Amino acid sequence: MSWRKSNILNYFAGQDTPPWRAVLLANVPVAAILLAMIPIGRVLEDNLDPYYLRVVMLIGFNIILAVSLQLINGFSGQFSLGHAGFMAVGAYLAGFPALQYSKDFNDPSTTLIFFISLLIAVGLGAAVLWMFFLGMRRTRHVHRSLPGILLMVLLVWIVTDFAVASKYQHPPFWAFWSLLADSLQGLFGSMMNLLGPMAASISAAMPGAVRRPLCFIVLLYGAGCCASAVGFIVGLPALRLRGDYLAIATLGFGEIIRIAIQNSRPLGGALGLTSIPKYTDFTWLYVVVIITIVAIWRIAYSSKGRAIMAVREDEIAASSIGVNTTTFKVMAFTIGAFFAGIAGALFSLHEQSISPYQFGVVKSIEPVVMVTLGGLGSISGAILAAIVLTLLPEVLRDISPQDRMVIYSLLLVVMMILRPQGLLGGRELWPRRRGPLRSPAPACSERAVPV
Amino acid sequence: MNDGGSLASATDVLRVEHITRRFGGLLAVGDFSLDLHKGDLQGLIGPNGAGKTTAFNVITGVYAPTSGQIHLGNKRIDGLQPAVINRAGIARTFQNIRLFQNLSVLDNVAVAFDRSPRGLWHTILHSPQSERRRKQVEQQSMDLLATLGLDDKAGFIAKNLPYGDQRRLEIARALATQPTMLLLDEPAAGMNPQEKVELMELIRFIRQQFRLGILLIEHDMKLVMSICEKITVLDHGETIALGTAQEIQCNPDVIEAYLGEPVH
Repeated sequence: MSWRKSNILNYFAGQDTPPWRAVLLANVPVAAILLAMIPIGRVLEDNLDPYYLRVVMLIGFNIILAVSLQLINGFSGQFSLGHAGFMAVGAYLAGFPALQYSKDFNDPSTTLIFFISLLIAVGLGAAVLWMFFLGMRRTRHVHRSLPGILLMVLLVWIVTDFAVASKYQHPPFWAFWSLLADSLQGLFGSMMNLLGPMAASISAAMPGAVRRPLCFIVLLYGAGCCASAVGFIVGLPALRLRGDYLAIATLGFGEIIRIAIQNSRPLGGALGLTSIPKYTDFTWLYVVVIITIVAIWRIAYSSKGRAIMAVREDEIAASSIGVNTTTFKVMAFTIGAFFAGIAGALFSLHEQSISPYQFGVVKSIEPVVMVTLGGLGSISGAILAAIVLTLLPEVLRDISPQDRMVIYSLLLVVMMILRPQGLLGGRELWPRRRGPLRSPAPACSERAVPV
Repeated sequence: MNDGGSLASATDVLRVEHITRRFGGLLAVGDFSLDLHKGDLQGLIGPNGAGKTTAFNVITGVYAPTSGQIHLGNKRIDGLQPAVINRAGIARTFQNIRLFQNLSVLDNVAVAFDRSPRGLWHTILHSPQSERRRKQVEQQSMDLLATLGLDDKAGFIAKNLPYGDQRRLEIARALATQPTMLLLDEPAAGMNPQEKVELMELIRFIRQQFRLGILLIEHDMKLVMSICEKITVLDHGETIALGTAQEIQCNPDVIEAYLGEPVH
């Protein structure tokens, strides 16, 4: 019997403490730290100079990005350069509904419906791609079926394109995207017709103190889920590519996302979105920072992280002991993208105006530098590097405003020459396990494993 | 996901039926057949390039056979993914050791015990179930390491182990998947005579302790002849002889394959 089944049975037989209580007890320190962020945030926002506060906020965004990228680059060993793309998805998919449906964050239900309809659409796309991919893996002669499949896709595209081009008054090859956008809007429209009145009344019934944070949480979570759906799609080619090739592919994906946004009218095109309502403050940001660190830490040093690292170490050996390499590679991408999306959402609800240019290649490389400088495979290293690399340009601003970027890059070069494995080089600042590794009693040595 | 435990009764024979594997025009393995029962210890020998490792790779799913079928018990396993075949009950080691080099010895084994990808929320929230599971896996892994005499090195990074222990660890990792059939690809390669003797003892011990079917590729004739009951000889992909150690030693085809044609 699998362990999950036995848990449920135990619970219903009354042998376990209720799950919620047990989970709560297991997470008391984390909850305490999260609660501590409220007074800390109050004090800092009242007393800190706006400039310093802004630097502190920047550190927070960078920690989320670096730690989530550490899961992809450091633990799963897939060199991804697409983090800004995931961040952009999160930023736009939090900023857009915040502008459209929940000015002043007063309508969490409608926002939720927006994300559900979006996720249905993105999820369908991801499912189709996944099936297509699985089908390709099952066939022994991919090279023979591939031209046919590509031709079919092209044919469908062209036919639908010309069919709808006249309706939308667009040149062919663009009409397809309008069709997609329209069907998305149609989906959202019909869901609104169906559930809208109910959603509005539910939102109206909530007290303001619940409504606003709830709406914010829905925005963050929805944006994160959308980003992770995109991460899933980006993760698929990652199964066939490695090293530099994967880096280029993810770089390309990031650019595709940016350029798609730049050409999308509802998302503001090259101008971006402006006057997004502000909600992110120190407390919210650092609550998410801590949740991110704890979640990634626990995933990385769990059985899942162990399997992810095993796939990094040797894919053939991992599959020879029954580890599904596909699952773990895509898992790392999906989880990393989720948190990058959340960072983007926090960013757009803090900056209040976003444009596609903020999510270019440079933004992708920043967290990569942090992860590499901190040491691949070290979460505390990523945090440390995020802090150092955010502070460094600001400190240098005081010393020499003209040459600060030169000094900054020189410092990085010197650092990588002196310590190529990064600040912490794959180790952590605090111990990985919560107790010393037990050595078994001598009696064990005669016992066989239970098979 | 079932980890293969409940299939144990149905999987006590590995039947390889006439598998052929071609790479373009090259016949790597031709018409190779094999019956491996639980508790058997068989050898697979042949000169370099005879197709022994390719045969292993076909059985474990690294390559799909060009033709032929492989059954484990009642289940047809040829052409499946390596991970699926392993879960069905076939574990292997590699000719050039493939450990997870930067993971600890304990983690190397624990990966094989716990490869279930589910329960993400349990992991993130550190639920009691996931903690219990973690302790259980650690205990199982330590027990297995103790059985193979590696428990005092559980905290070592795998790449820092001495060569013989690395081989041992690779076997431990394969055993941790709780297989019914174990395929060892040149386990004695690069070992000194002392380590070879220890390896022979280890293989005998594993066979008794875990009741496995073991198939062994080996170049060391002394080792093969002394522990294998049945030996298959491959040359240029073809099976040229099959029998006990004595029969193989006297077989003229085998002598020819290894030493060349007799000079007249």
